[in-house]
Amino acid sequence: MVNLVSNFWWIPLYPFIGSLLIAILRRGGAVIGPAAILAAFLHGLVVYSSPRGGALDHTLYQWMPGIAFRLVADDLSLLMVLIITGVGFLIHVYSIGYMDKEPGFWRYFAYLNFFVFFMLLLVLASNLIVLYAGWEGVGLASYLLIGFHHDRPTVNRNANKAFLYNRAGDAGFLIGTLILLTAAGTTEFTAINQLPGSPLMLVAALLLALAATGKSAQLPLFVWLPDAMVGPTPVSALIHAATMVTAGIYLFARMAPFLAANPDAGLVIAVIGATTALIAATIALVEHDIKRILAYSTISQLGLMFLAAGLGATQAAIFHVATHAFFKALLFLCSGNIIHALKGEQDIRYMGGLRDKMPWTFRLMVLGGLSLAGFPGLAGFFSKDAILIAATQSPILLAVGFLVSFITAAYVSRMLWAVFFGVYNREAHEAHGTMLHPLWPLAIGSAIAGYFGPHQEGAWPIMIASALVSIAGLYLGRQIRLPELLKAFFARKWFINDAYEVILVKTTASRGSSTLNWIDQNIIDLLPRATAFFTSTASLISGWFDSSVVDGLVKTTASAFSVASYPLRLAQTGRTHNYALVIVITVAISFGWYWLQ
Amino acid sequence: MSFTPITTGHYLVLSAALLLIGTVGLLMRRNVIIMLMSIELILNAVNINLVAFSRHWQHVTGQVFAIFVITVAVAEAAVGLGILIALFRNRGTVLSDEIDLLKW
Amino acid sequence: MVLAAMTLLLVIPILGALAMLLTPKRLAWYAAILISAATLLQAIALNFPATIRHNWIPAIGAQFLLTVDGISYLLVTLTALMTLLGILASPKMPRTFYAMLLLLAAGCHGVFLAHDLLLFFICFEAVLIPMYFLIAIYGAEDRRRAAFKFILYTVAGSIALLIGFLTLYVQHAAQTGIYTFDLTPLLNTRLTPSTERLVFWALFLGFAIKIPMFPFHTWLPDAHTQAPTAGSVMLAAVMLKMGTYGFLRFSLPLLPKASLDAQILAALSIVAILYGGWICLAQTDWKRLIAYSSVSHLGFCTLGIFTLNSTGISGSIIQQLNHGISTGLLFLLVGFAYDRRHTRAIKDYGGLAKGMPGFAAVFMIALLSSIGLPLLNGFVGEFTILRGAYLAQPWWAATAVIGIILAAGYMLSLYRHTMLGPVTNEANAHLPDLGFREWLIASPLIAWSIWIGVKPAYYFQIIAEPVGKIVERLHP
Repeated sequence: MVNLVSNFWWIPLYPFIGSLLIAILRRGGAVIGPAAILAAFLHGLVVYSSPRGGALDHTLYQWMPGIAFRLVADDLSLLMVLIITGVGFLIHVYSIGYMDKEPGFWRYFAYLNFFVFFMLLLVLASNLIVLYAGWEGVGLASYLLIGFHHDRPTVNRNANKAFLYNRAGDAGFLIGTLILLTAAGTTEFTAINQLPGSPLMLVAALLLALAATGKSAQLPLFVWLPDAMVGPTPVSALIHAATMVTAGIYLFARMAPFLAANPDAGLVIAVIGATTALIAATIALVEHDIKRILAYSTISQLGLMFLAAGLGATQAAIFHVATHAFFKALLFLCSGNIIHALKGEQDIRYMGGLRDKMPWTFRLMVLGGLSLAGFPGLAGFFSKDAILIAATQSPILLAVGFLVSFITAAYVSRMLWAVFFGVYNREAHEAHGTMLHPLWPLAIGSAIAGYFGPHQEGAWPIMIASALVSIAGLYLGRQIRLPELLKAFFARKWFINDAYEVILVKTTASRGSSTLNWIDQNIIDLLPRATAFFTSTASLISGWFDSSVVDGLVKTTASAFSVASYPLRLAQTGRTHNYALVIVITVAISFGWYWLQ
Repeated sequence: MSFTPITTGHYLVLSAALLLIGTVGLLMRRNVIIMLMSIELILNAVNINLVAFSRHWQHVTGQVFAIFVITVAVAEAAVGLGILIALFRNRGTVLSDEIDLLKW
Repeated sequence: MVLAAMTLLLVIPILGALAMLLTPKRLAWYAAILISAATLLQAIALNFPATIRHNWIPAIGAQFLLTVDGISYLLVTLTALMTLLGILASPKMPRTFYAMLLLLAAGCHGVFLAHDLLLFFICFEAVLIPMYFLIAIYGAEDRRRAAFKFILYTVAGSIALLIGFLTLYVQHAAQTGIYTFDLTPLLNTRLTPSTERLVFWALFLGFAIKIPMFPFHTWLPDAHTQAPTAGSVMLAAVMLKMGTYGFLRFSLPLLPKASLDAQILAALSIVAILYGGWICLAQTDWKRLIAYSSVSHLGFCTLGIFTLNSTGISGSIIQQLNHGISTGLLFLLVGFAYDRRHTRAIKDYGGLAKGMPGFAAVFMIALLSSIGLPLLNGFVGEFTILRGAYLAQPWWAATAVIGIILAAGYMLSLYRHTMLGPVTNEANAHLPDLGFREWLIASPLIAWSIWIGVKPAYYFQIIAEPVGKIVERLHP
């Protein structure tokens, strides 16, 4: 019997092989895809529930000098594995229905499996470099999946945007890694988590946090996530809600001792999380596209996770990762059903009254929404409370947390009312089969997952307060009328995206590079051009010198002869008696001279 | 009336006069035939000179040489006339002024 | 007479080039393939380390001296492979074309194997002539000017190189009384600091123009855009490495103290990384974009060299190999596109992925290799270089890393404009996907990229000793 526990490192291989198989065969995506993920899930379940006696690890080989390709399985990574493969499996099944009759069906499943492979690599990595391989790999898969319908122009631009903002964070990741590698001599987490705090370590922590903001869509690198919604909805559910975006929080959890040794980093992370949570929540309140509402909601919830992680409440953060995976995936898939039913409509202003037409989607989405809003008793309530409890360390952060909770409930309510209530005027049909049944486990999780989380003591005040806030938000959400100015401000996403567009895209990328191009061709190229000009001028002068002066000497010599011979020439008159005269004179002279001698 | 006896000197003067006439004629006349005649005159002047001195020195060498000169003169005249005829046939003129193709 | 393996690497292509002229036109391509394949096999089978020494010009101390170690082996194999692939990518060309390519290969082999300064210099120069003809005769619309600029600019640098070499030669003779161009005894020449600096900067000029380092790079975009596909491939994949190889083989070991002082060259490399990457964003010519990306990538390589530590230098060598593979593949892909549409303008393309999915996939792999995705070769080289840079001066790594963002930016932008989106130009709608020959060309490069990316241990191992020797001379 194969020892599944010690061979835990096979887990990423199932989706890898699945992806490769689908790509080679170009078919069978519907079967191979989910099957690979299911296999990974089951294997993970076996390992999780078996007695392990500490963390398992397995070194495949030495990848680069001093960097081993090594995987480790402890409670944290295995929990992540279960979330990824569990939710992943459900979403794979859902995709069979959602992507039915799409051209490139096999490509979708190959990419999706490819994504899961990298995500698993990320969470099972035992050192920063292997994690980085998974980190960049999920970025690649995200790019491929966002850009799945690559014959639509805006899609590709958004896919590029996602990759690039992630890459910006990755630059920070590399430098942070290098700092830690130099300090600890290795990138293994076990070693890094033992490093004492220092200003340099703080820098490294902040750089890694920057990378996390890229991956988990927080300030300053969050603007890619809403635009990533152009991808197929299951992709949004899996990658941009449940798994990839949680990679940042996972990194914090993995390096919790290191963060604890550098508490200032944690503070920065918490503040970033809280701020982002607030900003994103306000934007979700005024958004019209259902997927974008959910996207900003995800950003906001990730902000809460950042808040918890930054304050050192790793368990709370991971707890919320888990519950969020359930209800956010549920919400996205329900929205997928709606979009599918309405033949591509995504604007909630054109929805309404779907409660009767799509009863199950209605109930599931309400459940998911209530869980998100932190309705007492549901999963979201407990995990959010865990975060709020952790936030009691700082009154400001706590206040922000409550404010975010209120706004969250408000936008959930607003969305649900707009979609399901009121008058309907569209044809819509309920989801069925693979687009419905995977939602049940998610619903169950959204409801009861809260009871499996870490228990808090003395949490009653917070629990009551958050319950009240949640109910108030749900009730008032429908009635909130924001001042127009505020509404416009939120609708323009606090001008952050616009600022990036102007500074990065239009100026730096576009004008900057064109200017540089001009400089290159006209200024830097002056070096050879000036030399060439100088050389050709010098050669002109030299040529002139050669033909005028040097050759002039030769010509002058020749003409001297010519000039001298002219008078002599005159003697040749061609006339005979001139010659005779000369003869006579010569004879006379010579005789005379002889006679005088 | 007493006449001076004709000495060698008289012959020499005659020879010189003839030489001079011939030379001047050679130099100053345009017509090539006249120039040839002048050349004959010069040569005959030389002959007279030679014979005069032959008589003076009572030596026959001078007369022998004069015979040579006559022969040469004849040959030269023949050649000269031949050139003259060829010249006239090609150029249509016997005036030396107009025969100056070898002019620079 | 049995010719040694290394000499064969020079002889086979040269004889092959001559044989080209005797081959009938129809068979020229096949003959060229055979000759370059034979050269490739010989290159792969080289045993190293090895030395070959023959007398050449005893009167001045020049010998026909070839050595091969790990570094030379990698570069020679790269050259031989690229020659073969370049020939495969250019069917139906005149015989002289293949002859020029083979001569080019022979010259490049000579550069990477020569251990005698004069032999090195002659081969260094000799490659310029076939390259000039390749561009000037078989190139694109502005080929004359581009070839002219290329050859004059490079030769100008080589003059400085020659002066440097001769100074060394004369100094050595002044000290030991022996006139020799052999590298090994020349390593023991003691130079005054000022002479050493003079020679270093003279050699620098020659190598820097070849690489090309900023700001001596302006010949490269024109040369690349105007050259035929095989010419671009050889230029990018092989000839640019002659400069970096020169630094590693000659400048650093011969002139260690001057090298240690040349901190500015690391800064110049970083400028090249960022400048080259940034300027790519403005390019409208496909080949020109890849040319500028080469400037950026080679900035990484030179940065690796001037970290002057074994990590950076090993990373640089591996990245030189990687650049040859990935940029060579990119130029081959442009060549495939050009064969179909006869244009290099990016705006003439668009939406190619729909009709040419195989092409799109290979392009994506080349792209990912180029931008340094982990598990492909680019990451191994870049990361090792960054490691070495950080060890030398943390700020170098911090600034150089921005290059990876730029690389992703311009590459994805290129991919988007050529491969993705709706098909805007009717001519792009029905282009044939990669054929058997083209897959044959791309496959070894893809395989090699994955091999180096996943399991680079072999490569690190074979260059460890030569790199160790270089570092030893720098930091005794």
